[in-house]
Amino acid sequence: MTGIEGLIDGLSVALTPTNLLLVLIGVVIGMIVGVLPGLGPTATIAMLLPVTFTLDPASAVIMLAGIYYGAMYGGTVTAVLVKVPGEVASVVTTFDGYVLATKGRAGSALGVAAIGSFVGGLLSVVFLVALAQPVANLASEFGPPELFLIALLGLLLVLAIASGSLIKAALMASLGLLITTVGQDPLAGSPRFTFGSLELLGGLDIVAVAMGVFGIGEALSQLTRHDPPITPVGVRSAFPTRADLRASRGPILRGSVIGSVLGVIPGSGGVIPPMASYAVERRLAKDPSRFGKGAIEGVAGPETANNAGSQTSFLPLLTLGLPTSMVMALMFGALLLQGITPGPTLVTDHPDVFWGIIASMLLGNIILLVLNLPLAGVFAQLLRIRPSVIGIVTILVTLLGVYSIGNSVFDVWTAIVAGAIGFALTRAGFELGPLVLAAILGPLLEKNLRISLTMGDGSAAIFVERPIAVVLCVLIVLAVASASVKVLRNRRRPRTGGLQARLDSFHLEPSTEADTGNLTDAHAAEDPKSKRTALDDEPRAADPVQVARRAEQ
Amino acid sequence: MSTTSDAPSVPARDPAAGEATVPADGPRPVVPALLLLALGIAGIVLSIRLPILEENGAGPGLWPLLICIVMTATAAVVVLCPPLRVAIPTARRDVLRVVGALVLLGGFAVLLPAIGLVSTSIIVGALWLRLLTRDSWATSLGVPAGVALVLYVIFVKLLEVPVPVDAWLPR
Repeated sequence: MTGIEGLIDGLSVALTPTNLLLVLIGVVIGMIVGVLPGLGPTATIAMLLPVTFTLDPASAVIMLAGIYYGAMYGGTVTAVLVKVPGEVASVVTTFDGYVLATKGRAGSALGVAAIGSFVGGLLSVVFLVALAQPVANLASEFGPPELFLIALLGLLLVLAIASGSLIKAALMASLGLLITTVGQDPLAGSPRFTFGSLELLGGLDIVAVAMGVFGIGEALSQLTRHDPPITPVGVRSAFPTRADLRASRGPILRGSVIGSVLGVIPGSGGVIPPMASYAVERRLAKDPSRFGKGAIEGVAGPETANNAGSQTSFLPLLTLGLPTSMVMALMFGALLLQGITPGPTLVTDHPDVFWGIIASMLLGNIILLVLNLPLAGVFAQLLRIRPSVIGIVTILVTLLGVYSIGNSVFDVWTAIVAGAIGFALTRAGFELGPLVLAAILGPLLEKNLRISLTMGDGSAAIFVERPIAVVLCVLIVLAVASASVKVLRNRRRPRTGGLQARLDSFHLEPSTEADTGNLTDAHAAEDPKSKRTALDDEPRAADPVQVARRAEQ
Repeated sequence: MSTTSDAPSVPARDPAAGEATVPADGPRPVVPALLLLALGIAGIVLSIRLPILEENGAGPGLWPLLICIVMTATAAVVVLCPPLRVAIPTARRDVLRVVGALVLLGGFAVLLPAIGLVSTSIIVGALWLRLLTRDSWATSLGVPAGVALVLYVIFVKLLEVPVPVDAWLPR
């Protein structure tokens, strides 16, 4: 089947009334989640996993995918209107988007962002369609040794590119892997670490753990934050001027390519594509000094790359069974719950799922453009919702969702304990993303490792006897080397902040305070009684990546 | 997520900004790492008791053994390297709030099968909003009631998920 034929088949799946409704529901939820501080797409997808039990596999992932790229659109709203990135990928948009808002051009910024995201989304679908079948054909050569190595590679790449401490990320990943060993041995069925408990014999439900870590953990974190209410800048609709559209043409096209290519790299998450786009636009600009002072190109390119990357990040998951980020790991989990293992055989065994997901992205982007242009101001009003209300909604949805997984109170307790431990680990400076990613990949890793060793009569030489496996081994060595270099480099010089480190890596030198200093909501925590508006900020150094990651997790 | 660094000297940062600080040597930040170290060691001991290798390949103990070795090694590095032992300071009243929240969550787990979804959500939600986040009574009662009813409609009526339902509500 060619890509075009697959896409047409996929459209026949996506255009059913049920799936159209689910796309709409997904993108609207995603927009809301992207706008609301403290609740990111990761937590939302984790919370809604139980809902997908009642849906068929294609419908389930179509809705969850809609939440993901819908959140990319939504995060732009807060980035522009309040200078708080709704999710990590919108950090870069705060540089110029917020300045545009202070100049009364919020509508232009939001409009260009929406149009750029739409174009990026469409072109990324073309990219997916073009590459999906060839990559899947290559992946069909994979056996258990290759499947083990590629899952290991994905995990290592995520650790290597993690923004926090590599050692602590590795510790969290090992904890996540250990969680999956509780219960029955996947091959022999013998009990492992159950201590005689019947509940533990069934293992710790990874969905319950993920929901606890993200849902309950976020609600507990919200209790310790004292952010003042946010009053967004008023904006009615988001229609850019012709001049803005002309200036945005090039950045949007370049952003589409940059985002589509970088989005498939494991560990790039949502941050690298927009940052790379910003660096490119700044380099290509006739007057780079405009960046940070309201350059529309500084919004158009990154937002396009952001959305394009969010969609092409599905490619490794659907074709190789390799989740490249937390959200993809949860999508992986969602398909596992449906009895489908994403990977090389997905396109042949479940073409409706494979192509249906890709086709739904076309529709989702159309819906988001239609919603964003006239209704950006309406979504912005969601910022007035009190964080405490968001917290209790999160709690109730999470707890009920966890219970509905298996009608088991044990799962609820699992989620509560996971949430408490997740909260404590976060306060202790640990990242939880690697933990959940590893927990989802754990069973796949163990099963393929043991089958591979059986194939090799107990010898690990099988991992270097097969050509594709050798290539993967080399990539693993490079990933480990890259991570080691990163650790050694960090020992030599202190990092001044996540965003600064990212900017340094793209050889960007902030020429204005707006590049690094004028990005904050952090100082608001020092004066909880102040009612901050979007125009009240004073320049203060802060790490917007942290702010956004707090919102994400 | 906190920003951490492996560098030997990291300037202290503003805790109100939500960023990690490097505290003076104290026991508190090292406790999680010590617990993980203990867990890793315990995992190694328990894994060794399982078959590691079998005649046709790996036994059930091999994979957890490998994981626990990595966990022990990385936890030991975190325990022994002060710059890695960072923590976000938490005020005592916030700790009490979190403890109270966990008690309420436990209450949810106990009450849900006993009295049903809506009543449990209203009780737990009202106590959460009123006691922990100091919202008004109207918000504390109205929001949980609204959320509970929406969840009832979605999960019970639309999705037909078998969750415990209050006696006074139709299934």
